[in-house]
Amino acid sequence: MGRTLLWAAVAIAVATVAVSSIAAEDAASLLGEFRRIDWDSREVGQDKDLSDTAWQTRIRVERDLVTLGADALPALVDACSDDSGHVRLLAAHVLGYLNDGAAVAPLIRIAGEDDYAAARLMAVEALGRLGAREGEAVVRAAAEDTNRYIREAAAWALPRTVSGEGVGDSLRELALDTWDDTPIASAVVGEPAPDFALRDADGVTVRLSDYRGRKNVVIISLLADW
Amino acid sequence: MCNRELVQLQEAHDRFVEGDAAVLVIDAQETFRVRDWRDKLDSPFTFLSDPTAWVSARYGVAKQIVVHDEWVSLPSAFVVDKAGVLRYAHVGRGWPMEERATAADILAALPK
Repeated sequence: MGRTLLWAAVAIAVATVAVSSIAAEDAASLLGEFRRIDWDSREVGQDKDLSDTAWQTRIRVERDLVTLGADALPALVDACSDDSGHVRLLAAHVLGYLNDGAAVAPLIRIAGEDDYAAARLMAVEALGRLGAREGEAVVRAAAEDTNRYIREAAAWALPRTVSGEGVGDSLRELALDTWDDTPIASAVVGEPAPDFALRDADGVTVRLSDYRGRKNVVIISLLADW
Repeated sequence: MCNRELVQLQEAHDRFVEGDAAVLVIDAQETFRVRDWRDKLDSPFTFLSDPTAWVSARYGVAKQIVVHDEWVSLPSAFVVDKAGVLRYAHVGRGWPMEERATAADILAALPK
């Protein structure tokens, strides 16, 4: 038994070293995979091709970069200067999960200067999530942006940059708790609905399976909250 | 779904109750934003916060189009029966809006 535990410990140690040494390469290859997709042609909701699965790459790359965490940081900071606005947006989004001060300067630059509005918006949100006091000035300026949606994002982010209280590690921990091996797009009519647990507006955890045997459930997925 | 459609669903709230159905509204935002919105709409529905968009991803709708400079979910509706089986799925494209599920569509999909 003792020997088994010892071997298990050795195996875990070896695996840990292996993971950290390949992580930087992983982050770069994930970003490369993301960059190769023509996102411009997929932005439009009119007559969208519902059989197109490129969006699953976005979800998977986000998930894997957040999971890599600190190991992905150098590649994400570099990606904040990428030629593609879509890559800068992705990097800003993931950096909002990682609670690392190294993200603040590149996010301030995107929030203040990026010519791609979606990247600016995401950087503003991420500065709020980081509770970055150094970001207060740029978020305050974003509250006067010509783009209405950036102004709204700034209104949400500003109190966090003023107080210095962002999400800490909570958003990443929630993500790591939530993300499981269930495949993306696994809801099929006629089969058991994928179970989930989410917090409601008051912070109470609600599970789909709570309703089993008691009520039918209508699930409404929102395009957006406006 | 967006604001105006949600208001229409709320107007049908009594009929969802008659159909023995709970309505869960999933918003891929942090809890404080979901709460603000629920309060603004004074909604009788249960609003759920899915900030990582993972549930939306598993239901096949997350981050597929850009609306107002953000990648957002497709406007969609699902019905799950009391046995936990998915009975109805309507994944809408962003536009034309006529393609989105209406309250009548969803009510018709509830088990009798």
